[in-house]
Amino acid sequence: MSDRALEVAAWILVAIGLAVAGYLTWVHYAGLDPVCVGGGGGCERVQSSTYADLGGVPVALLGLGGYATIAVTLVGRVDSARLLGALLGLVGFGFSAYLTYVELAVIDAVCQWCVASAVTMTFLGAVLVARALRPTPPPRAR
Amino acid sequence: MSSKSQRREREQRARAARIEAERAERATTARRRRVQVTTIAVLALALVAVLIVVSQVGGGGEDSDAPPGLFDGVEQSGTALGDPDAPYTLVESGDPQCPFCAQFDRDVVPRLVSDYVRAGDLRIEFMPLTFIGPGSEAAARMALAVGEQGNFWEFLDLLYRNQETENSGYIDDSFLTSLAERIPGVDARRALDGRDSPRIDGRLSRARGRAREFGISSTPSFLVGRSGERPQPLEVDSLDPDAFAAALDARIGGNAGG
Repeated sequence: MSDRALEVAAWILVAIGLAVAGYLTWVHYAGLDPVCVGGGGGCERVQSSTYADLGGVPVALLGLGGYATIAVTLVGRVDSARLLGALLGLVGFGFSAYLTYVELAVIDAVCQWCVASAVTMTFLGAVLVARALRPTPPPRAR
Repeated sequence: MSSKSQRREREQRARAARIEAERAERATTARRRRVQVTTIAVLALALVAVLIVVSQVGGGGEDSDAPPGLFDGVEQSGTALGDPDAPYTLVESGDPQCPFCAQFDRDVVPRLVSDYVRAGDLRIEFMPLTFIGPGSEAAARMALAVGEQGNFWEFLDLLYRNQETENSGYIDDSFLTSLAERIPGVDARRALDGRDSPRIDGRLSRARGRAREFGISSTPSFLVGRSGERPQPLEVDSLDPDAFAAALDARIGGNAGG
């Protein structure tokens, strides 16, 4: 996969992640229940659990911030931006995996939006690590 | 001719050396890159561990004390809360480690106590189930033993308000004793000594049997009905106090209190 293709894939995944995390952040602050396909109240149960906040900050807002910061690293054309992007991708993947475990094993309810974000973050983490393993291409000649 | 051939040879050697140097540089760069990414991965692992710890600490630490006076003046008998002559009885089946039972305890129980139990309209019975793990049974046994001293609901409330991640090993004798000691008048030592009595065995066993009888497989689950009659399942979509009260009203309606 070319460097350009990895970058395009990362942008697509970031856009999906921003949309999902943005929606969950919006319903959190609007006091609404997320629309959960198939009903069952899984999203509501997850979003109203004690795990929906991290140190008083909604996890959805943290996700939104994470995706936004990854977007900023994609704009950067220096080595450190790629490495920071990979770091954020890996942290996002690890924490999403933990939250998915919590949903299945502790809360006993699944929020489809959270799963969507976890899957997105998994692919994004892989893309960002693959990108970080490559040397940063020199700036394009004008 | 010889001079030309020597020059070509020198150029070829120089080119080979350049290619070799470039290859070596690329290999060095790739190696350095792998080291950097490995460092990043280790750093990421550490950050995730920190996030997990913060997440778990945040789950239990914010509201560890019951609202003052929540159960003051409300009659308790074993796991039952409220007037024995209340016209309706709500049975809650719960596991001490179940996070939604904790949510019910924090959000809904205070409303039920103030609006229904204190008014004499409703009696609440707790049916302890212990399917999540060994900590569940240890906590339930201690709650039942504290209940023999007339403070089951205070202890249950403290358990839920200090709940941590299930099966993380936080429920031990020291934890249970510290909760019991926070309830005025409770002899924590006596509760510890009495928690394995045949009486407590029997209560747990009866709760399990009742859960089987009603097909209860998750917690919290609710049964409601006229006191003394066979209760029926109460289905609730939400543990929001208003939504729960509405579901309860739909079952006991205007008959509450008489």
